[in-house]
Amino acid sequence: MQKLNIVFKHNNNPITEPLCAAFTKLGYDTVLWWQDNKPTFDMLHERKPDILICDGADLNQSILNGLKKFSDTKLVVINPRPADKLLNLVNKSLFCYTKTPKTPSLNLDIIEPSANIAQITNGVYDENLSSDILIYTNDDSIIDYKIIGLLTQNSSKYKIKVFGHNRMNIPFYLGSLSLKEASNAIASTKLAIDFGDNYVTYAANQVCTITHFDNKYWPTVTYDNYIDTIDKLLHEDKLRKKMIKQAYKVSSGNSIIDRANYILEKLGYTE
Amino acid sequence: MKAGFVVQRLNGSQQSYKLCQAANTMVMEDIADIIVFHDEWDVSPIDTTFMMLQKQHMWSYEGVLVATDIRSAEQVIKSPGPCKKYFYLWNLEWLYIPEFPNSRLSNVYQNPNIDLIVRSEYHANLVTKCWKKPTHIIEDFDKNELAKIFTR
Repeated sequence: MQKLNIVFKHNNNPITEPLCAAFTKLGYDTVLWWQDNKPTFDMLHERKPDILICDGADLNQSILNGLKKFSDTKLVVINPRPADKLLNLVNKSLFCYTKTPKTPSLNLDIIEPSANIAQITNGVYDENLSSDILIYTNDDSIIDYKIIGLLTQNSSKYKIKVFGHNRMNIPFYLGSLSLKEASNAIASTKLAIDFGDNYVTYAANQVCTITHFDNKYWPTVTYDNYIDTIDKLLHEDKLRKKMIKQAYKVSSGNSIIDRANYILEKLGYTE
Repeated sequence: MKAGFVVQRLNGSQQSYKLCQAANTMVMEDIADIIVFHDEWDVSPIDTTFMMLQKQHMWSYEGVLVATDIRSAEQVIKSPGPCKKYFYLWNLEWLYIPEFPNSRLSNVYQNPNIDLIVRSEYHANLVTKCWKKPTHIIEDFDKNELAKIFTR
C-alpha cells in the first residue's frame, strides 16, 4: 500500500471527521490541522501532505496561496461553495458533495450520506443505555419538534432515550455520548429515529430506523401514521427483522470506508 | 439511628424548608439523630434542632447518608464511611444542566452503590425509564417514610 500523508482541516464537520477516521482505519497517515494554531505554509512545509481535505466553508485564500507553492499536494473540497470555481486552477482538485447541489456547475463527485462504520461500529448491549426508541443527534441534525411532541405524548408506552450534542429540553434527553458509547447505545435499542443523515449508519449497524424524508434505505412515514408505525415495528419482530435485512443490503458498499477508497481512486491512487 | 443529609446550603427554598421540618421532627420525636452536612453557610428557613456540619465531615460519617442533588450525590458515592447511601431526587435536575456527558450523570443515577428516592409516582416512572428504578417514593421528605428506611 502506498504510504500517503493526508491532512484534514479540523472543523468538527460531520463528513470530514468520519472521513479522517476512515483513512486512519485504512492505514494512512492522517493529521487533523487547526489553522489557528499552525499557519498554512508552516503546515505544508512540515507535513508536505499528499492530500489536503477540507470543507468548502473552511477554504480560504491562505490555503489557495499555499497550494500554489506546494503543487504536489492534491486538494479535496467537501461541499464547495459556488464561488470556489477558481479552484479548478489549483493543483488536482476534487470536489465532493454530500447531496446534489441545486445549481451543479462544477465537476461533481457526490459522496452521499454514508455509513459511519469507521467511528460507530461493533457496539455491544449495555443495560444502562438500552431503550425501545433511540434518538441520536449530531451537529447537522434538524430536530422535528412535532415528532418529539408525538413521542412525548405517547412516552408512557415506550422507553425513549435521546443522546447527542444538540441539547433538547425534554426529560428523555440524557446527555452526549462518546463514539464508543454511541455504538453501544445503537446496539442496545430496538428502533432508531433519524433527523439527519444517520439512517445509513443505522442500516449498517442493523438497527431498524424511522425517517420522515425519502431515502432508499427505510420506508418513510407521515405524521399521521407515525405512532402506529412505531407500535407495529416495536411489537412485530418479524417485520422489524425483515426491514433490517433489506436496509443492510442497500447499505453495503455505502460506508465511509468505501467513500475514502472512492476519493483515492478519483485522485489516481489506485491499488 | 444515625442519619445525615447532604446539601449545598440550607436557605429559604422549599426543599430546605421541608428538609428542616422533617429533620426537626425526627430529632424531637427521637426517631433518628440527624446531621445536615452543607457546603456553604446560609440562614435556614426555620429554627433547627439538629446538628449542622461542614461537608468534609461526611467522609468519616458512618450512618445513613442522603444526598439531595447531583453534586452532593457524586460526593456521597465516593465517601467511604456511610453504611447506606441514598440520593433523594428533589427534582429532575438533568433537565436544567446546560450541557453534560451522559457518563457523568449515569455514574450517579445508575450507580449500583446508591439507591434512588423520588417524590412522586410520575417521577418514579420517568426515572425508571431514563435511569434506574427508584427504591422508594417519599413525598417532600416525609418523616415517617424516611424513618422507615433509616431504621432498616
